[in-house]
Amino acid sequence: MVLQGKTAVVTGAASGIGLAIARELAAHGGAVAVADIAGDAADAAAASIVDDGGRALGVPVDVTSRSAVEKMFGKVEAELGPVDIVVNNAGISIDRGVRRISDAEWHKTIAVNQTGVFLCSQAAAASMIPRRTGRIINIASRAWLGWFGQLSYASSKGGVVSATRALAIELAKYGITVNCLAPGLVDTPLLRSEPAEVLERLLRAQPTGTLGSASDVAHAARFLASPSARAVTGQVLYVCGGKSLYAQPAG
Amino acid sequence: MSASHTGGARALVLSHGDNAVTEAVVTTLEDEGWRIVLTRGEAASAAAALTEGDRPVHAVVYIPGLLDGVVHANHDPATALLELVDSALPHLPPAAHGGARVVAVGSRDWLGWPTRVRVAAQAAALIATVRSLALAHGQRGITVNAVVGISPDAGARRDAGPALGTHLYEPAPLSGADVTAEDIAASVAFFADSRSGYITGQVLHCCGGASLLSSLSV
Repeated sequence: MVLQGKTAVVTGAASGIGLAIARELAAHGGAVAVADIAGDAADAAAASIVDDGGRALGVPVDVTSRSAVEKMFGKVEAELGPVDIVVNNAGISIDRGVRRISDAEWHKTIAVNQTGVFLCSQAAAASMIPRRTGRIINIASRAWLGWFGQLSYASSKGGVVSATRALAIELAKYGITVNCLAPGLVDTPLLRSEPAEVLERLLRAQPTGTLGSASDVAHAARFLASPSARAVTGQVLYVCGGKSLYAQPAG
Repeated sequence: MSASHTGGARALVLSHGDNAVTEAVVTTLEDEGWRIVLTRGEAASAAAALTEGDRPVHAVVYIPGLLDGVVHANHDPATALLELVDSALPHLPPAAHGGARVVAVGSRDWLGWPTRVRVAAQAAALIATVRSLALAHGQRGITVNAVVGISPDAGARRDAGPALGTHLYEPAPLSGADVTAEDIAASVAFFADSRSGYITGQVLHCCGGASLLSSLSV
C-alpha cells in the first residue's frame, strides 16, 4: 500500500480517466477526493470506491472558479487531511478548426484546461510547501503536439505542459514534484462510436496497433504519485502506444 | 509498488557498468517478484544466459554504464541495445501473451555536455535506438523505453566550480537531493511492469529536474 496515509485530490474524477486514477490511488491506500463539476456523479463515484474498500469523498468543484477551488481544498483537508497528491484531470475538448471556433469556445477551453490547472496547483502548492512534500500530476494530452481541428484543445494542453515544467522548476526545492501525463487514444464509448473505417485508420497509426485504456493512464499516475518517483519531475510522459514518436498512416 | 508480473516471470538484465544502479535494479525487480537473469557479457549473446524451456522473459533491461561517465571503446551502447534485443527476441512472448518490456538506462548527458562529448554522443545514440526499436517492435507487444539518469556525483561536481575549460556549471538536481541508484531502479521497474504496455519509445528523465532547461528534454 504505497500511498497509505496520503490524501489525493483528483479533478474531473466522476468518470473516465479521472475515475480510473481515483480508483487506482485508493486501491494503493490513498484517501481520495473525487472532485467533479457534477457533484452527484462525484458522490456516486466516491461511494463506489468506498464500496470497494477504499477511502473516498465526493466533492463538487468548478475548477475555473478560485472560490470553488479554495472551498474544495478546505473541505478535503478538513475531512481527509492535508493534501499530498493533486491530479489535475478536469478538462474539456471542443474540436473546431481555426475558421470556426468562437471566442466563447476558445475561452471556455482555456478556462477549464489551463486556468483550472493554475488554480488547483496554486492551492496545492500553498498546502504542500510548508510540509516540503507533494506530488502534482497534470493530465495533458498527446494532442498538445497539434492536430487538425484542435486549435483550442492543443493550445490549452500545451499550456499545461509549460505549466508543468515551470511548476516543477519552482517547487523542486520544496520536495514537490510536478509531472504530466499525455494520453493518446484511449478506449471510450465515444471512440467506439466512430465509424469502423475511422477506428481502423486510427489504429494503423498506432505503433503498438492497440488502443489504450483509462487503466493504463491510472497506472502511470500511481507511479508518479508514489514516493519512489521523488527524482522524476517536470516530465511529460506519453501514454499513447508510441504515437508521439510520429507515425502517420498511409492514405 | 507491486508489479503485475507475479509468479516469477523472468527479466534479463545486461550490465556493462553502473554497478550501484545494476544492484538496485536487480534488488527492486526481485522485490517485485521477478526472477532475474543477470549477465555482463556480450550483448549479441546475452540470451545465452537464458535457460531454454524455463519461464518466459517478460522484461529485458540494459544498463550500459553511461552514468559512470565512461566511453565505451569496444562497443557502443546503441549497437549493444540493438544486439541485445535481437538476441532476446526469440525468448519474448508474443503480444497475445503480454509481450515484453525493454528498458535501457541512459544518461542526461545525451542532452549535451562540453567535457563529456563522446559519452553524450553515445547516450544520444542510445535514445535514438530506443525510439526506433519502439517503432520496430510495437506491434509485437514489445515496448522499449529509456530511463535517463544523472550521476550521483552531479551535485559535488557543481559545487566544485565550472567544468574544466568552460564557465558552465554541471547540471544538478533542482531539489538539492542527489539522485540515487534506487530512484533510477524504481523508474526501471515502472517501465518493466506489464501494465506499462501502452507506453513505448519514452525517455523518462530521473534526474531531479536537472534536465528541464534543455529544449530536448520535452
